[in-house]
Formats: sequence, C-alpha cells, structure tokens
Amino acid sequence: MMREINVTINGEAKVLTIEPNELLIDILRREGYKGVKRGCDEGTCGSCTIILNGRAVKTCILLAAQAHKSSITTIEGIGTRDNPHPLQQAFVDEGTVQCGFCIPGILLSAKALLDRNPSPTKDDVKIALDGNLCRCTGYSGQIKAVLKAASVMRGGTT
Amino acid sequence: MNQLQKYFYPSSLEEVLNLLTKESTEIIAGGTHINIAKNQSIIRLVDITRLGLNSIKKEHQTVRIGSTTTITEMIESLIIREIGNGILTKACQLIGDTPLRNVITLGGNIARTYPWVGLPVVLLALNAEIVIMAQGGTRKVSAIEYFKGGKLMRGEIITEVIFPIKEDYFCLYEKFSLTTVDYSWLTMAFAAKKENGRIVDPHLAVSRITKAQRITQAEELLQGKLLSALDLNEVISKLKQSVKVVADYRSSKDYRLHLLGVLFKRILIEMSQEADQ
Repeated sequence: MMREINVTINGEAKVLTIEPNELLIDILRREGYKGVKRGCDEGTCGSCTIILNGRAVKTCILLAAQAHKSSITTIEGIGTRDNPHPLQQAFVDEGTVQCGFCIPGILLSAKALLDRNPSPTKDDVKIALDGNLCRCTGYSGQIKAVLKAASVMRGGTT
Repeated sequence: MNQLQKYFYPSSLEEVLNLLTKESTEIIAGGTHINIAKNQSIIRLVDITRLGLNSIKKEHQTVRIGSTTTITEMIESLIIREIGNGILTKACQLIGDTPLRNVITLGGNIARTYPWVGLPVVLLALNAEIVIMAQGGTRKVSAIEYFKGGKLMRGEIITEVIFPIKEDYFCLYEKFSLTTVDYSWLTMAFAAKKENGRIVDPHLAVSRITKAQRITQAEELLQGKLLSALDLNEVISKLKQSVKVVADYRSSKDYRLHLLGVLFKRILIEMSQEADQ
C-alpha cells in the first residue's frame, strides 16, 4: 500500500511516495541521487552510506519508511566539481581515489565524524571509517586525507 | 518483504501494544536484521523509534537503558561507562561498524536471540533485568531466565533493560572474530569480586559457540579460590567440559573449545594481575 514520507534531502524538503517494503537506497536512486552506490546490498561494504539525522547509515538495509521526518545528506549535497568540500579536495590531493565506487560513502562517513568532532585523532578516523570497504587504494591515504581536511576546516594550514 | 503492506508510526506504547495483537505484525527499530532476513511473512511493521524509549537513567545502584537506545548512543554515554567498570561500553564498541552501530539498538540485540550478537553475555554476567510490556501488564525478567526461555511472546515489547552498576566487581568482555567487522566466533563476559586475593561471586557467560548462557560449573569451581594459587589448567578443563558446543561450518569444535580456554585464561590472568595492585 503506497504511503507518503516527508524528508529533507540536502536541505530541500520533499514528499516522497513509497511502498512500505522499499529500501531507502532504491528511493534515493530513483529520486536521482545516484551518488548512493549499490555494492553488497547486505549492509557490509558501506558504498550506500548517507548521513541520516547527523549519523552515517547504510541505506541498503534501511526501509525508506524508517526515514520519515528525517534529514538526509547525500554526496550531492556536500560539494560540486567547481566548489568541492574540503574533504573532497583532500581526497584528490592525497590521491586516495582509484575506481571511486566506495568514495561517496567514505566521504559521508568522514563528514559525519567531522560534524561532531572537528579535531579527531587518527584512531577516531579509523573508527568512523570502519564500515566502509575500499578494495583499490587502501586506507592510509584516506585517513591522512580526513585528518588534513579536518585541519583545513579548522582554519589551519595543511 | 514482499508481503509487507503497512508501516505504522505509533505515538504511544498503548498504540504499539494494540497493533501487536494483530497477526504477522513485527516491531522495527534499527531494522538491520528484519531488512537482511527478507522475511516473507511480515505484513505489518510497527516503528518504535519515535516513542522516547531511548533514555539512559541512573537510579540508585542501577542504570536503566531504554530499548531503542542505539549502540552509538550507549558508547557515548558517560553513565553507561560506570556499568561494570566499562564492560558494556567495551562490548558496544566491538559491535559491527560505525554505520551499523548508529542504527542497531539495545532491544534489537536481545529481542531476537541471534547467536552472533554481542550483548547477551554482558546482560548474563551482570545479572541485568529485562522489562517486558504486554497488554496484560509489565513484567521484569532476569537475563538468565530470559535467555533460557529464548523468545518474546506475541504481543510483547522490551521497553528497557536495568543494569546493576557493580562498581566493586572486576568485569571483562571478550569477543573473537577474524576481522573487526566479522560476525563473532565467540563472545564471553566475566564478572567477579576480588576479596583478599580471592574470587567471590563469579559470573561467567558464554555465547556463539553455545546458546547464550551462564557456565555455573565453572563458577562453582572458582568461588572462593585464591587467584594466586589458581590451577588454570583445571579451571579451563572444567570449563571445556561444561560447554556444549553447537555446530559451525567455519571451524571444528576442538578449535572453538581451545579458543574458549585461551580467552578465559586471559581473563583470569588479567584479574590476578589487577588483584596484585
């Protein structure tokens, strides 16, 4: 039975019509947020990660109905090619991207961390990224990039 | 969940209990296992995450934690760090990964007794109480009784768990898995008092290699024993005899029994070192 949910996606209020058994990943991709990537489809790899009410979550194991009256941030909401988010710029500078499929999820996990903790330790970053698998470049560059972006966002030099 | 037709957002517990009387109706909070299980028999889901059941309150020598408190909220809570000298916080930190901890709830970890979940052994070792509500009224069940019987009955909901703080107990949680985000191979929790170098009131709980339970034979052997004169081999051999290991295609029973012995030996050595201080 169709029903409506109210969500705010990247700051824009939306009313979405969903079936109760539809997953959040499917609804977001249908709405055009293709940065939400389908990987394992069972809550392991983290490529479908978004920020839901300030917390990183995996959309392939959430029902869309669970997001009713929630605020969602996807990769489309944090930066553009011309005006990248400091995290995106740091990922480019550190050469952390190869195939790129896992990167939107990793950036959102990292953003959820920095929104709460602007001065994370290396261990804080490792814990925040522990739900996101990368099979190309590995994690050391990503961790370095997150710490660098945190420093830039605090107004420091790199 | 092809059969799923309705998703409810009740605004009170009364409404939840009323909805739960209908057939093919399940509770959803974090939803991780309902969504993974692709359960074909569920027709109605009742979302209990909007009822304020996520409070953490200290009351006398206990902490009452609402059932929809997420694992992340539990890790961040300073009050919860007081429980068993941080044993619950540590067990929470070892669950899944960050995005999963952000949605998994305390209640979900114990409502369906999946073998790989982490918290049942902590509830057992600390003698926690589970508060269960139904239309007929509210009942409090000890963790031992709850995990023995296994399941919630139809129409019931876990509203909170009451943890004793046990600040004068030595408490330790151990989880073994191949990677930090793998399903556990074994979980174990131990709580005991140290009095003049002796073990007093030991509680040992084990899960995953067996149904979540206390190992009373090992507890009886340890009761009153001097830590410095403990025959570790005797204790470990008794422990191995007392645990009925369930089948698991990933490793042999011998391997998992050996693992059980190694992890418990570590706990006892750590406790004896702490007693020396």
